[in-house]
Amino acid sequence: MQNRIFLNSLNHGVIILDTDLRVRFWNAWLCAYTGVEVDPDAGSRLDVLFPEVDVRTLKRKIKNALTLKTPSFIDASVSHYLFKIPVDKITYSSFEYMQQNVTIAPYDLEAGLVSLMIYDQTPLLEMKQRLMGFNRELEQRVKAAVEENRRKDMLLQQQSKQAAMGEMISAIAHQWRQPLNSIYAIAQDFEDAFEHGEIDKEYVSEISQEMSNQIDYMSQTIEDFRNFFKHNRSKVYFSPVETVKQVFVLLSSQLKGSTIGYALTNDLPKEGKLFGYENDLKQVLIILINNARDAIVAATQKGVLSHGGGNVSIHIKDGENGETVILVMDNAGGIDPKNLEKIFEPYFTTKPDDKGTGIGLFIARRIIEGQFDGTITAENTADGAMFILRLPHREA
Amino acid sequence: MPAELLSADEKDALQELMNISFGVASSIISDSLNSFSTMPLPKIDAMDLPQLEAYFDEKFRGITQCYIVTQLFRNRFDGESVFIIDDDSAMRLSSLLLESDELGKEDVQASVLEITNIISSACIGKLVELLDAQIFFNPPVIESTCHIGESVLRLSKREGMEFTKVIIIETKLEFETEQITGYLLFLTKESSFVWLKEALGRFLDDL
Amino acid sequence: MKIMIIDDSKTARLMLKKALPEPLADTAEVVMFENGQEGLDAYRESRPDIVFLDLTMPVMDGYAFLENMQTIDKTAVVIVVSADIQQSAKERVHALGAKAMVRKPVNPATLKALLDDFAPRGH
Repeated sequence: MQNRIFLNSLNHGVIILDTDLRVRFWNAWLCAYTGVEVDPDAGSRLDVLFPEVDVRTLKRKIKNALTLKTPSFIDASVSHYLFKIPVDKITYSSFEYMQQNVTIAPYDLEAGLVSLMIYDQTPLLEMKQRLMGFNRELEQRVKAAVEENRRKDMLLQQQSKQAAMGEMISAIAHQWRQPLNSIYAIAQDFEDAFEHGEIDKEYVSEISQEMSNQIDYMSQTIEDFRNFFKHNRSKVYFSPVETVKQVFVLLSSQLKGSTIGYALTNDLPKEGKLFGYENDLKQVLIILINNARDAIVAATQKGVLSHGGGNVSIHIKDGENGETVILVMDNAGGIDPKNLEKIFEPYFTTKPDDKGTGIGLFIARRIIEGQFDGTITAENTADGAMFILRLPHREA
Repeated sequence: MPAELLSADEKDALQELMNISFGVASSIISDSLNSFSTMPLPKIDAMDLPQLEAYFDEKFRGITQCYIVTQLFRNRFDGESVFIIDDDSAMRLSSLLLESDELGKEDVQASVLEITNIISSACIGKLVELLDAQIFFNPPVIESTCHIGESVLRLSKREGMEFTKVIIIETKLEFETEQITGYLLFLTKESSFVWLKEALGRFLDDL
Repeated sequence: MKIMIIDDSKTARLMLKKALPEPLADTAEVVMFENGQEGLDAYRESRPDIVFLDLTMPVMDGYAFLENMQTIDKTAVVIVVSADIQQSAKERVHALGAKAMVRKPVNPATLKALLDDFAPRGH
């Protein structure tokens, strides 16, 4: 009797069943939750009281519990319930029926009786479902963010290519201006000479030579830029000093056209070597030099800088930690200190709309950090801006 | 090696008791599934906890999609059963157990849980019962339904764990006519093995 | 009453001996062997009333023992005792003349019933 009082005081369901699924005991908790009273002497079968009971599975689990003398289990998270007890809630529940964990334990081996403990897992599973919902939402947001980043990245890459192309075309245009002028002059001269009857074999060979020279120079220019654009995607050892020299050659016409002076000073104790994609470093230098040029032109227009007083200088030296340091300096007055932090962010620009896309320095940083494991920083000197590239030495 | 911890008689007793327990397990499974199953006598091994991860990786490299179910058992013989079964095997196992070909994911999960419980109860429960002791089982839990990537199981990384060695009892569940293979590991602590040795000693004294 | 137990496991042999019902446990003569060959040699000599036989053993397994038994003593009472009882094994040992096949561990009640059925003259 003591037993019965105890079982009726429990806050979960207790059933004693025989192997034919006849209910031998049904505790108070079950009466309350199901509204079903069971007389243990009536021999009512659980599967008659609750037709949804999976008889085959339950019988098998009872048999195994009795044979093995250890419990069998029903897991609420995969099997949901043994029989239907409606979730009688006023507030919302995502479950129609109580989610039940059931432990089927041997009770009386000789009489073939088992005890069924029924535990309400509904609140736990609701929580689990909610968590899974959060997780799904989080996953979707992360996925969307990643997708958005990828899209931006592609856009940037495309814009960076276009920007580089733009720089090239404008560089080529500058390089060609002089030879085109020469050829134009030759054409004029040719007409004059014809009118004055000065065309003889010597004259023809002279202007032919002159034109060939100019055209060769133009082809060479195209060739130089084509080499630059031909992305040689293998890493090589290269001399940073040579790289800077080549970049100055590429940009010489542009710089001279804007009457900007340029200089390279080399403080490397011996011939320095870097390992990586040389063209990538060229692209960075072109971006930095063109920025300097734009700044100088703007400063000159504002009258801050005298005409012809602009200067771009590059200084190469060893760093404190054995890295190669390339300083790119101008004398255009420097960068507004409040912008120093932002200049490497994509789409940040202080140039007028038609001049800048705001991705040059972003690309420069990506190349230096991504391809060279290096750093790029900017600071102001007494005269202007200074970009500091630190490129660690690496082995092939 | 734990085998070296045991005398020849204790080893013989353990082997015979396992023989009986595993026989019970395979006959109950054969009964439940209506298909003959076999479980070869287990291999017993001891290793340091850090080695265990490598052991799992090596063991289950070929399996990509699987269920991993664990079940705790408690008392003087303390430990965990781990049942690992690939998706296809689990599906076939479930259709035998439930006698149906139209199975949802939850049916398969319920079947895998049930089989794990039977195997744990039969192998470990019977072994302990033969040694005249009692043991309690937690309900089995599906640890993951996963791609086996770098590691099969995440192992306890608790600081200051009171044991250093893990005893592994390993066998395989196979069927004569069905393409079903499941791996079965029982992990116990060294202290449990000490208890096992004592219990085997008492058991032999009684014979 | 003479009882022969053949099993490669000493534990298995002792467990079976321990399960012998009273008063047989004290009165019967129990002889034990580790494999089929040893059992067969001894059988020729002493003709026990009943043989309890394991299946998987080194040197000579239970099936080979049964096959040999066909030529030595067709009336021998052999009970196969095994941990793993599969239908195919059951059919095979019956075809080879075994009287019954029982699952390990054999409890005293089962053992008494077997002895009553197959070797009643002992008690």
